[in-house]
Parts: sequence; structure tokens; C-alpha cells
Amino acid sequence: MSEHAVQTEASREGLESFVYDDSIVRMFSWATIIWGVVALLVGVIIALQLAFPAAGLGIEFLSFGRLRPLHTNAAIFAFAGNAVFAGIYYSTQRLCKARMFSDLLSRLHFWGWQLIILSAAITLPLGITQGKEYAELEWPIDLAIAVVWLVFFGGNFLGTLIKRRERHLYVALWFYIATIVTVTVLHVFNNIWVPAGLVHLIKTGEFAGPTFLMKSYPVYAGVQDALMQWWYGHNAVAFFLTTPFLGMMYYFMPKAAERPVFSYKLSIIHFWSLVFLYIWAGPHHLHYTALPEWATTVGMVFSVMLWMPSWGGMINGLLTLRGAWDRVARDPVLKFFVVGVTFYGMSTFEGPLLSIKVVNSLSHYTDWTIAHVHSGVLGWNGFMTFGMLYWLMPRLFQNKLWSTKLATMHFWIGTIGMVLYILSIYTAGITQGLMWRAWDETGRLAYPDFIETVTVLIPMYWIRVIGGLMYLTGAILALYNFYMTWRGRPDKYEETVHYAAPLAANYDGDPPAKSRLTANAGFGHKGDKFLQGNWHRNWERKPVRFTIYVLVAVSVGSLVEILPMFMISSNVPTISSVQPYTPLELAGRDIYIAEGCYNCHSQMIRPFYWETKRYGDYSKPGEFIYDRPFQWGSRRIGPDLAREGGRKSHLWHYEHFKNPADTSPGSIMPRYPWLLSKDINFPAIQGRVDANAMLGVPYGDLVLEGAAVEAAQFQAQTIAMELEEQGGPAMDETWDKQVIAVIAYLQRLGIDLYKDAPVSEEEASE
Amino acid sequence: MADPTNKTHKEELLEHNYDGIQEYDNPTPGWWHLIFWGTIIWGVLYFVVVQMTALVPGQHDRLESTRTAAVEKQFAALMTIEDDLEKVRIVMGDENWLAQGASVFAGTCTLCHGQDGEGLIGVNLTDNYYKNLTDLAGMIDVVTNGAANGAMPANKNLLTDNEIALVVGYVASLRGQNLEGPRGVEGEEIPPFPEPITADQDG
Repeated sequence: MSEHAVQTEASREGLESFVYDDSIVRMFSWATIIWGVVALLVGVIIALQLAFPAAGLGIEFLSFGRLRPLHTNAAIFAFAGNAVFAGIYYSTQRLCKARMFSDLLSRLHFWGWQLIILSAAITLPLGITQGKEYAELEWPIDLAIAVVWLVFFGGNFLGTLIKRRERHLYVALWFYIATIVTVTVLHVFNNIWVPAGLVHLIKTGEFAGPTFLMKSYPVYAGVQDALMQWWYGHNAVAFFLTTPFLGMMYYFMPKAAERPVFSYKLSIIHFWSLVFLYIWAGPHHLHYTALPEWATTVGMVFSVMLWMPSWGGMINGLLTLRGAWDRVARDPVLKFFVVGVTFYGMSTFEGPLLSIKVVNSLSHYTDWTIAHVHSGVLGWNGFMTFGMLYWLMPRLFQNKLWSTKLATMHFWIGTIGMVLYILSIYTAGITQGLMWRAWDETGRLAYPDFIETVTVLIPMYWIRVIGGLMYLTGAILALYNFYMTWRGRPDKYEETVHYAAPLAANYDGDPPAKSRLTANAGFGHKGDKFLQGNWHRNWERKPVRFTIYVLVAVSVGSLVEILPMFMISSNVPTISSVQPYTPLELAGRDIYIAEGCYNCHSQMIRPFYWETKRYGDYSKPGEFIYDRPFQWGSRRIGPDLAREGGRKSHLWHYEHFKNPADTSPGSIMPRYPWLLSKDINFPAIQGRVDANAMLGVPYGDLVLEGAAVEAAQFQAQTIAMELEEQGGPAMDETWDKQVIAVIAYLQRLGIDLYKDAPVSEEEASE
Repeated sequence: MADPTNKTHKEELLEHNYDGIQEYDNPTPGWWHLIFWGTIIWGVLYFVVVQMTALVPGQHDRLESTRTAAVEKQFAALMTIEDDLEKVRIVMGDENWLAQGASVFAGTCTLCHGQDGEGLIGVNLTDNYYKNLTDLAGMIDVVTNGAANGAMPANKNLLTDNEIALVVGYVASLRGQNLEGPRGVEGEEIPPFPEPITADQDG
């Protein structure tokens, strides 16, 4: 304790002393920068694979479909996630004038989260996935996330709010509350599943391999699963990548700029409008799909309404810098913040734009979406994170930043890299979108061969690789700067002791607002008092009530969209000829999911003439009722597969998996040699069928012991025989290989619509 | 950006102080309110007009009308012809129809038969030898229903009758080019296809 502290002892009567826990912030900061480099590196690797497919080396663990989820999960949950935790742990303690509620919970949170990331890094390349974007992690990891997030992190955070010594909650804390509450709701309701492997093990005592033990099926199917997934997916962007970063902006920007926040009133209205409106916008990811049109229209109008609430954050951020612009030129921290907030403004203008249906009809399934999310994550999340880290480094390591010059260099190399990435991919997206829809007055597609619309993008893909490499280089410079600053740390960190009075139990409340009106009476006075925001000042004193209000705000939109989709059957009209997948097709579908085919292939033909010309009749809601999870996809790096069934021979598929470039010159699809050599896991097929039967799929006698396996073996032999007859390899070599199951699935896609409805047993006997 | 501190409006700091962070009591900018409430009013109106009235046709109705118009425009001259074989012969005799047939071929057939019909996984279509057919009617059947245990897939769900006529006419026109392909000769030599019907003969 310093001398100064001793001297002023007398004046501290009635005050409590406390020390902030900065070591947990140091831990999360290290994790942020290290995982950040990993996430970016994986990004560069898969970007290279699109420009140069041979870079996948034909190794299953490096294939695009398995690595892309690793890239997105690492960027969101490892890089941005750890940054959020570092920022929240640093700022919350100071905004509450209190150490975190529990050091143990802090450590459990940190190590629990790193273990989750590690398990993602192991399971995703192994093809263990739920097949839903940004929710790929399988059920045991889902459970771990729920515990670490809600119990360790949420409990620790709320505990800190309760024992705080600052009467009112600052706006940053409102955003943190919204983050914790909403991410919990989203994660839990999007991950309700039947753990097929575990159920099978318990029921039969048969262990069908570790991969199958991790396998689950969502309780939702088809259209409903799609709605749940994009309600989750969109709001993961909202409440994992937006609200916590806005909270961090509200803390670190005024701190770094040493300027007051522009407007308290604006922060109130943009916080509540953002939290209330965001949750409705999910269906804009499903424009023109089999999701009912009313739901997508709701998603669209709410997305447009979100424009100003988002920009409220940008305005409050940028106008806070008034009077500090001269320092932006000198201080890399402020440079990162300015560009970060500007990118936030750009991508939250672009978001509403892309949600408008006519724009979406062009942009959807193309690289435009990829460009959009990267301007958000690289520009907003990435640059806010780096700005925060550079500001934190000297404070955490109690040492001057090793090199300001290097940080400025990082800023420029990162900015240029990001611009190269985004501009090239915008160009790629718009080019491809226009090529897909081009048709002349004679009704013919200008580019009927899908490959033509891919090969033209390759130069843009190379520019993206260069841009990504530059951004990665910047992050490595940050890591080095971080390391060098850490090396110069003192032998023992000095821990400043702070003093503050505990909150008195009998607080009289804030001074009531006085109406500023003179001539008016009654209603006018009430209105004026309301506009002065005093009611909100009261809310800021009551964290539990505030949390409940946030929960209510995010529940309204969720319930209005989700309940009708489950309760009103006309939203998903059934089609009598659509039947469940056969056991082998189901196994093939699960391989399709494990390989991450949905990362490049959609299964959703939109009702546009040019799209039906290319792929066949548009997709109907009733076609997907057995799809657990739905596989509509979000990007067509390859063509749509919704009606792939029967379009090509088994032999074509077999040769195509062996080497796509042989059958489709110019194809950028990776080779899948392992599908040709790995055996089908037949014992697990019974478990797959049983789990789907539990969820209501009419499998009849196939649930009898071994019946599904027998049916699958018979179908596999039939397909292998046909393959041989078409000139493929001998049936003995192929029938029990995974490729046969995948072919069975692909040949089934979208063909039920053209079949006759099956005759029920009663009708048949008449 | 104009600095609001220089304006007559005097900024007031609130008595908030969080770890040294202060907040101004500035009002939310007017243009922000204008656009915000504007988008809300627009949103309600848009939803009501689009989803609750019949003023704007739904997405599936719009597709149907586009499709009907496009098909009528594209196939007006073919639609009246009942005989499939005659249709194919008309296609064979008309440059424009052949170009459209080539487009269907590019979207449907090239993956197996090669860019120019020289053969790949599927047979060479440019020589005089054919595997699953002996005449033009047989080719219509093969394209429609498939052949050879699924080695040649059926296209009846994917292509309309008119599109099948286009692509069969185009494939028939490839005969005799004898392009070099990877597969060599397969099947039997069959009699020449019937002559194309050209506009001159028609008239």
C-alpha cells in the first residue's frame, strides 16, 4: 500500500477498500490475441482453398466443409468471445467499483471457455457437427457452453452488479446485461435435441463409435428448424457481436478519448430500440425460401427499422470524439476505434439494405453476404478489439506499450487488407448474382453451366487471399507487440487499492423531474417529465428489474414469430407423396452434414423463373418435414442441390467425389477420396432411425431391432450393383463405403414431389 | 463535421460519473428521430399493403405469371405442334432453336457428355454410333425416361416437353462432327436421322 493511502486513512471512514482483479483480464486478453491469430489463419487457409482447391491436399481434416465452421466459430466465439470477456471483466469492475463477485467463477469461466474452444477445434475437423451455422458444436459442448455462459459468467456478472458500490448502472452495463440474457435464450432454444448416440447406447447397450455418441438430431425439422436457426444466427450477430461491443465502445472510447459521451438520451433510446427490434429480424436470412412469406416480410420491415437504432450507437461513438480528433492522428488506439465504429455504421446500413427483398434476391447465396459479415467482423469487432487491446496493454502489464509505431503499422496494414478483402468479394458477389439471373427474351439462361459463374470469380478470390493475409499479418504484429510489452512487465504487478462507500439501503431515489412547461397542465406535464428520462434513471438503480425488462423486450418478437410457425399448420402444408428418408439415405444425409456440404451447397430453390430454369421447380415447405436439421444453406459456392435426385448417374457422383475436376473441369470442390475408402457405420444406422422415430418420423417396422440396418445394407448393395452396371468399380469394393450412402441421399433429394402418394394399407386392402 | 460546441446551443454535462466517464445531456439529433419514426411508419404500411391486401401479388403468383409469359414467348411457334418428332425436326432446321437447344444442353448434359458432346462419363454424341437408341424417337425416350440402369438419368421432371425437343434437336445436330473424345466408339451405327424441317419447306 502506498504512503498516500496511509496518509488519507482518516478521511476514509465508512469506506470499503477493494482491489480490481486484472489478472483475469490479462488471461482473457492473451486468449483473444492468440485465438484471433488462429481464427484468421484458418480463414486464410480456406480462402486459399477456394482460389486454389489443391491446397486442401485431399486430407479430410483440412477440407473446406470442415474447416469453414472452425473458422467462423473461432472468429466469433474464440476471438470476439474472449475480447468481450476481457472488456467486460475490465470495465464492469470499474463501473461497479467492485471486484468481480467471485475469483473462482472468473477462473472457471476462463478455463471452461478455453476448453470449449479446444473441443471445437478438435471436433469440427473430425466432422462432429450439428450442421447449423454458428451452432455447429454438438450436444455435450452445448451443455458446457450453457453452464459456462450462464452459471459461471452470468452468475459472476450479476453477483458483481448486486454488490456494486456505484448507484446507477452505466450504459455499457445495460448492453452487457442484454448480451448475457439474450445469448442464453438463443443458445438454449436453438439447441434442443435428441442425443441419438447416447439414447442408442442406453437403450441397446451397443456402442457404435465415438462420433455417433456425439450425434444429435434437433427436435425441430425443416421450416421450423430454419426459423429457429436464423432467429439464433441473426441474433448471435446482434447479441454476441454487437451489444457487447457497443458496451465496450461506451467504456473504452470515452476513456481513450478522455471526452464525455455525446448524449445520454440517445443512449437510452438506441439501447431499447435496438434490443427490442433486433430479435425480429432473423427471417430476412430466409427471403424467398419455403418459410411463409408473411414471416420474411416481418423480418424485412424490422430490419429496416433497425437502421437508426444501430446508427444511434455509431453517432454516440463518433461524436464522443469531438475535441479529440487531433489525437486520432497520433494515437493508434483512437485510429482503431474510429475505423471500427465507421465500419459498424457501414455494415448496419448495409444490413437493412440487404434485408430488402429485391436486393436480397440478388445478394443471397453470393459472396455479397460474405463481404457484409467480414466488414462487420474484421472492421467492427476486429478493430474495436485491437483498439481495446492496445489501450489495455500498458495498463495490464504496467509498462509502456512496446511500440506505438508497430501498432500504427498494424492499423494501416489491417485497414488496407480489409478493404482489399471486402471490395474483391463484393465484386465477386455481385458478378455471380448477376450471372445467375441473366436470361434473354427467348427464355434461356445466359450462363446455364454453373461452373462458368465460378471460374470467373477466381481472380477476386486471389485478391481476397492477399487481403486476408495482410489482416493476419497485422494481428501477428499485435501479438508480437503484446508479447514484448508483457516481457517488460514489473516483477510484481502493483495492485492499487480503491475506496468507496457501500450502497446505502435507504436511498431516497433520484430527484424527481420537474415539468418545464408553464402554461400546460396534467398530461402535458406528465409527458414532459417522461421525456426527461427520469423513469430510466430509476431503472438504472435496479439491476434485477432491468434484466427482466430486457428479457421481456427480446421475448416479444421471438414469440410473435415462433409460436405461429409451430401452432398454425397452414404455415407448413404437408405433401402426401413426401416420405421419410430410407435408413441408408438418412446415414448418407448425416455424412453430408458431417462433411459440411451445406457450407457450399444450398437446398432451396427460390421462386424465380431463372432459378427454376436452372434447378427445377421451387422448393415447397412440405418437402422438408423430415429434415433434421434443415440444410437450406446460405451460400452457393457450388450449385443448389434441392432437386439433385436423379439428375446424374451414380457413376457421375462416384467419379465426382473421387476428383471433381475430372467430371467438371474448373470445379473448385475439394476431392473426397476418404468417402470412397471409409466404411459406412451400419450399427449406428439403427440408432439414427430410432432417434428420428422418437421425434415422430413414421418409420414403422424399421425400428425393430436390426431392421434398419438390414434395409440399409440391401439398398447399399442395390446402388453398388447399379454403379457397377453403369461402368463403375465392382460392387464388392464399393457397397459398404460411405460414398454409397451419400449417393443414396443425393439421388433422393427433391424427387418425392413427383411421386404418387403412397397407398395406405387400409386403402390397399379395399 | 460541424462542432456543436460552437453553436449557440450550450452543452450541459449531466452529473453522471462512472470511473471518470461523463455524459452530455444532448438531445437525440432530429434527423435521427425523423428517419427512425419514418421507417416504423413505412414498416407498418408496407406490411399491411403487401401481406394484408391483394394489391401486390405474392412471390409464387409472380413466378407463375413470369413463367407463363416466358413460355408463351419462347415456345409460341412450337406449342401448337402435337407430334414430338416433328418438333424435333423443326428445331434441327432452325438456327435460333438450335442455339436454345445448346443452352439446355449446357445446363443439363455437359457434365457427363462434355462441353461439345465429345463424351466424358457419358457417351460421345458427335459420332454415328448410339448405345440405347436406334432412331430419333428413341432419343426422345432416352432423354425423357433415362436409360442403361440410370447411367443416363431421366429428365422428365426437370425439362418440359418443349425443352426436351430443343435438346434432342440440338444433340441430333451434333451427329457427324466426329469430335475426338476420351471414350472411343460405343454402341451401334444407326440409320441417319430424318431431315430437318426448314422454314422454306414449311412455306
